[in-house]
Amino acid sequence: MGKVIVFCCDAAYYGLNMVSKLIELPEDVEVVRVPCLGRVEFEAVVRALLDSANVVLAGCHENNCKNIDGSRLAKMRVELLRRMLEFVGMDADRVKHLEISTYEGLKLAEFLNEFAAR
Amino acid sequence: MDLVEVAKKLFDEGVEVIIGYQGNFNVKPIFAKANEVDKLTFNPLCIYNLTNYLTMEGFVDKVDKIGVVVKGCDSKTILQLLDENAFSRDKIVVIGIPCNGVIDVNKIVEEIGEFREFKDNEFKIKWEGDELVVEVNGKSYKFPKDKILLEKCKVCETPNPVVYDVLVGNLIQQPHRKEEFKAVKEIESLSLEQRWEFWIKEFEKCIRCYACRNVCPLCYCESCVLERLEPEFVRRAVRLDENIAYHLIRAYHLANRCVGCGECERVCPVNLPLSLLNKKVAKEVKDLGFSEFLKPIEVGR
Repeated sequence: MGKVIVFCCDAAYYGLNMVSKLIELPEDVEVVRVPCLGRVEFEAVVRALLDSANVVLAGCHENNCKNIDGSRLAKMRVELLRRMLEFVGMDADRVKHLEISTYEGLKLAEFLNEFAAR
Repeated sequence: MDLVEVAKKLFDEGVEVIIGYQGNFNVKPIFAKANEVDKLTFNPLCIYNLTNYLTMEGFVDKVDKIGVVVKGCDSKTILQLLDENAFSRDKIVVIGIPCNGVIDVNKIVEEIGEFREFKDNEFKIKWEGDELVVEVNGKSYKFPKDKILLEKCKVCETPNPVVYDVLVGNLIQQPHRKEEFKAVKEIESLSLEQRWEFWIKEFEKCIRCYACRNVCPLCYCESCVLERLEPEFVRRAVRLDENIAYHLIRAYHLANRCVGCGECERVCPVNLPLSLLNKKVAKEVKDLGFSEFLKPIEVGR
């Protein structure tokens, strides 16, 4: 079991908050709240990977981002990073991008439980 | 018209300085003023991408009008820089030179001998069809093109400048080539473990001199993320993990911007295959269809 860092945009964070009484997150999971997923820098994700953590980026659905481009940017960065990691021979599955709306908190929490136990 | 004539005319028209090449064998960049116009040359040893100097801090602001000598590959840099509004178009005069390819000097030195043995002005070099003719000390040597050409020139898509104000020489007729990412596909065909082995061998060599970043004409941010201390995304430590992060971040910052001039690879003191990483990113960005999305917003040009 490794550390998991979850970057949550406001919407996903509220979602996770709403289900916090229903389902408990593992201890290894650290939730980082960001205003929008588009602001999560590529470098920050790489840094997290270097500190031997797995990274999950959870944010709005692609056409549902209040900042128009945030979700697409995050998706692009993660997809590019995954392919680059694969290219240099690292495990691309250490980085995940999830599309989570405010009402899908349960889905995110369940995924995190699964991901942390991997 | 040859280069010197063109330069003279430009100086008459009010260009203050021309960034060009000087020397025959010891090719160096020169910031030529009007009285140094005779020094300007161009030959197959002119490897450097001179557009790097245009983004020096405050340089474009200090000079009224700058001339810059570009080959086909360098001219793509200018387009990209203009896209990013790095400077205004009317500040620079682009002197385009159609280029048959530049060569790896180490490959001819082996045959000619140590360069200290002859004077610079006794050295002549030019393309003759598919052969390179070198004249030193009265002797002449001939080299076949495909043996001494730089790797990037073998797959060159743009021998002719894509943007220019004045053209020196005639445009080159060449069947249209398309980037096929051969070297990248070769690495991709290896297994995950083999790729990891290949890359750690390379990244372990890296001494983090930052030359690849400094020489890159498109790395011109005043505050670079690789030097930032707060937050410190990449530590200064020269270790394998930090080296990997450094190179991933460097390549990512050139996503959809890298023009493939190959300068990073040329200056690398430990010969890392950096253009491989850059090309991989270019390929993936194309593949994912993000290139349109990443394009800078046009601001009334």
